[in-house]
Amino acid sequence: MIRELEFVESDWVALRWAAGSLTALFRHAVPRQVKVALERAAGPADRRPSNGKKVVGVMLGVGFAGALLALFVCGLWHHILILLPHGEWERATVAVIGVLEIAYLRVAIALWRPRRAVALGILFGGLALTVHVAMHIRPVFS
Amino acid sequence: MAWPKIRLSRQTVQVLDLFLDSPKDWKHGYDISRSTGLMSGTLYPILMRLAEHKLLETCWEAAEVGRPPRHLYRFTPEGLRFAREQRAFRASRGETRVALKGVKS
Repeated sequence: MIRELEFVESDWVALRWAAGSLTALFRHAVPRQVKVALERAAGPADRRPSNGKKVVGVMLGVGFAGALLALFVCGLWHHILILLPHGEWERATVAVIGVLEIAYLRVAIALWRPRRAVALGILFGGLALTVHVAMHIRPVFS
Repeated sequence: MAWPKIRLSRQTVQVLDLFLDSPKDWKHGYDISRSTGLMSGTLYPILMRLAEHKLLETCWEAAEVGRPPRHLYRFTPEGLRFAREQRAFRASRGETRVALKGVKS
């Protein structure tokens, strides 16, 4: 469904299409992941999550953070650059990353109790992104 | 024949009706979206569900140079029979309602 973005005419429709696709992927994947997790949790042995499961959870979180980053960069970047005068790409970056970090935080809070490993992965992704952007943006602002 | 237990929401019926209009043709997700007015977040779960129940078959379209391949959807023979039966059922139910309205008035 993401590939269809190549064939969408306008940016606004493309943004809505990308957001909808992400929703569809979540609606498709999350119930399966939850089902698998519940089946594992209900198993007689090893009721506590193993290190392997935690790693998978964190990787899922990082993957989610990456997918959201791609969505935001594809969708918001262009629109924010339209709002800002030319040459202010660093401000656009800060704006996009700011909105993205809020989204990360919101999802991480929602997932903290049921899926702590995934929430940690998302927070880790957000932190890595912030550090990365700060390293590149700081020389521009100074 | 025992049909799969599939929730026939208004949107699902829209998608089935669209495929019924040209049952032999392969359709792209975006074209279906434009024809039905459904956005991707609504459309794709429906398409995935129909494909899981073997009512739709899918394939990848050979891509043009510089463009990614696209997923195509079409009725399976079972899907076509299912959709026709559902349409007939809805039509008969609709006719019954119309007849009942006529009796009341």
